Amino acid sequence: MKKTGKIVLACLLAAAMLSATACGGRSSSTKSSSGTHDTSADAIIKAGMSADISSLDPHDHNDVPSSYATRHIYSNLVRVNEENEVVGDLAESWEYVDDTTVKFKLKEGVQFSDGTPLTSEDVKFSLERQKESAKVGHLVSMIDNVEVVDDLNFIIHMNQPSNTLLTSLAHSGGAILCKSYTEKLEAEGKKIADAPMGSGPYTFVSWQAGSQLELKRNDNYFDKERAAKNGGIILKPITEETSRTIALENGELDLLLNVGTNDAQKIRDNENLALDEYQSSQVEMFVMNTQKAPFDNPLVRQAMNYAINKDDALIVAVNGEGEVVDTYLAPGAIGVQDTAVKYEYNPEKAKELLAEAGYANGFTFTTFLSGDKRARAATAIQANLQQIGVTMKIEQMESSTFYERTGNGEHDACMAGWVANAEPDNTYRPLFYSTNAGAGGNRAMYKNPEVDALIDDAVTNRDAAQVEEDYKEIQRIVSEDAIWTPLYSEKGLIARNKDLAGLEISSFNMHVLTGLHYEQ
Amino acid sequence: MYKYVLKRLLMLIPVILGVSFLVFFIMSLAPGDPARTILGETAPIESVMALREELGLNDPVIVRYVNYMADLLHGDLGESYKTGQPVISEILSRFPATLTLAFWGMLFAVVLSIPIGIISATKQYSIMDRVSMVFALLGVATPNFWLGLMLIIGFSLNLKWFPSGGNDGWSSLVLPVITLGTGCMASITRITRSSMLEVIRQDYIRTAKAKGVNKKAVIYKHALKNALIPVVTVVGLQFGSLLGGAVLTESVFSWPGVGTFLVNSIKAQDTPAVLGCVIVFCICFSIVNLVVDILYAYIDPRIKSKYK
Repeated sequence: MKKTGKIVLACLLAAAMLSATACGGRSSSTKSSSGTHDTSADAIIKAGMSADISSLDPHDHNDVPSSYATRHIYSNLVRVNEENEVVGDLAESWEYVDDTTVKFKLKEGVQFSDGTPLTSEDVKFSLERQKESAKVGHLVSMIDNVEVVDDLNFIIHMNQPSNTLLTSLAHSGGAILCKSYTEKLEAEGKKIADAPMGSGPYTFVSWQAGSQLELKRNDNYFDKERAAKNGGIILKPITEETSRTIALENGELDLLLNVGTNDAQKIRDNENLALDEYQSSQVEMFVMNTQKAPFDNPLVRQAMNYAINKDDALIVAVNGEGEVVDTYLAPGAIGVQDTAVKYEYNPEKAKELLAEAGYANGFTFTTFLSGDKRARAATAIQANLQQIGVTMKIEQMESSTFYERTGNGEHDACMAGWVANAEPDNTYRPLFYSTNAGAGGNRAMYKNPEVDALIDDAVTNRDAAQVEEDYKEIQRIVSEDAIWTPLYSEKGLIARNKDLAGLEISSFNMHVLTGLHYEQ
Repeated sequence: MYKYVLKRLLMLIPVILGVSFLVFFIMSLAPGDPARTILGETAPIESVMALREELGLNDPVIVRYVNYMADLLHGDLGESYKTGQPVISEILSRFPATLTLAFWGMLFAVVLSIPIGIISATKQYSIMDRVSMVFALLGVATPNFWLGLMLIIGFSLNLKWFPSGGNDGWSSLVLPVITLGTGCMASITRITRSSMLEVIRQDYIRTAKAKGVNKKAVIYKHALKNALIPVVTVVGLQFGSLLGGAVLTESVFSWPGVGTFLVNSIKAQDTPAVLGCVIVFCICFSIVNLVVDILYAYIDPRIKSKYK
């Protein structure tokens, strides 16, 4: 018995030691959200996210949570500001020498957080490294080479004229790495993702995958106006929606970057919290396969547009937390043009169009979808269509199955969504370009040479007014062809402690956390 | 005994081969393209094709499997498609958290359930027995994620005794351990009770009682040891599966364990990560089973002779 007792005791001790290592070791805080906060410039701000960071190497990820992290550690040549304009970040100025050559000048005195000066060599190294990346290399595929003139001046030579260069450089994949540091690290067999170092407003402290990323203020940061107004930030992935909201209510988080629409009202009702609502760049739509009967007939597609009551879909899918849209891009997206044909809800008109198209007795079709929100929106559409004698069957599937089957064009129709980023071409091209029909993003399988030509012109034409006209025309044509029914744009919701100020909100989910601080 | 242990460990090889083969092929049959999942919808088709090439996804499944197994023989579980990090380091960084949760969850369950089970059996149909069986039934029937959320609302949001999630010190362990332990506790209580009931009706127990042996000695020395065999089996099986990650509990409490990683990897069609997790899970489960088998020998010396 004595021996058994010793074994049990040893096991317990081992477990206790293991727990001490496995647990963070810090004492936890369960402060009340109505309690006092650190109002000093060294306060650490804790922000919750809905998904985990996949990598801290800016060339090895293309997802929003990882971008939050790397955007705060690194700087880019240019950035997109709150007004959605491209402005200089590390670059002091740039000038188009001709359609394929752009001269850049870096700001003077910029250093990486370890004190190494940032030069044109670092830019060349970073952009060449990015070009090799399977995940973000395509963003800079227009770059042929980078010519270093001196420490502060360099020239980007493009292999073809492209208006997307600047917005691509503003993407988190366009982060500028320190050449000497990265090469030294990689020579030692280590990865930049494990010890990232850049010239951004924060420096890396620690990252425990699935748990938290800790960053502290970079006192070497070159842009004093945009320098961190807090001592550091901690990003915590919390995948479960209810747990995320409770952590904020409990005061364990100061800020919640992704608020589910189901919890929005609860946060509004909490006097200690504030809910920031913004127009996102996301749009949800009912997409018809233009290559398959009966949706190969524009009259049928127009009938669907008249028959669907978008308000129903908005309320059923997201509790009305958004706005119905008529444009093919969300109101918050860059490049949105209000030239789309508007189809007001009119079932009688829909019936007339169906009769004209030869479907007076209606028809039956199947809609593919993935995700509960879209399933709810689909049931609202199903009820709308029933009123005009059209039977819509719903086939819900797991997302990868959905992408594969709609990519192959197996669908009659599908429920889809799109989040636009800073570059309009990244939206127009995948959604409407004929070679992207199917897996490329064009799930309407839409093929229109006129639209293709306009998309190409918008990318290569240096005349900004003409580019705007191109985008207007594209919106007009695709809406006249009624290839989708744009449904609604869900609000972006960010919750925070009511005393926390300084969040810079971006309509395409690249919020800047540097200004966060508690007010006195 | 040593031969037996060695034999069992060697049997792990065909088990891993079989399991990895099955998982690899099931993953390859799953619809969707990992490269598209990683790059997202906005990526042009050329980039998706380039990433497919880089990840070796254009090779036939059998070639990919053989390559994978060749690397595995060198102890290399490959790199995660999603994070680009070695799978082994991804798993090892999360395994201590999973092990901690599983250990304390099991300890919580065992420490409470065995005494309750014994009392229920020895005082069958008493109030204590009925109350504990009702709780056991509730414990088995209550979904983990619901219990977890209720505990968070009660003890974190309202009473503010414990944090609502994360892995941030001892206090953050309490609620997930109770959540995880409750289900296990319930089933161990039930099995302890039924096993004890069976044993205390045996002739040798009646004989011991007739001989005037102290009641406590009869229960704890004679009955309990024999009743423990099925209990140890259940504890072992449950502990083994907890080492594979308690997905729902981890998710509710944002516990950075292997379970959440495995589920995210399945969603991302990250075959190397899924395979790595399954292989580690397989090894853990087999080792726990082996430990359980060895424990049988200590509990019941008659079994020891069979190992020789």
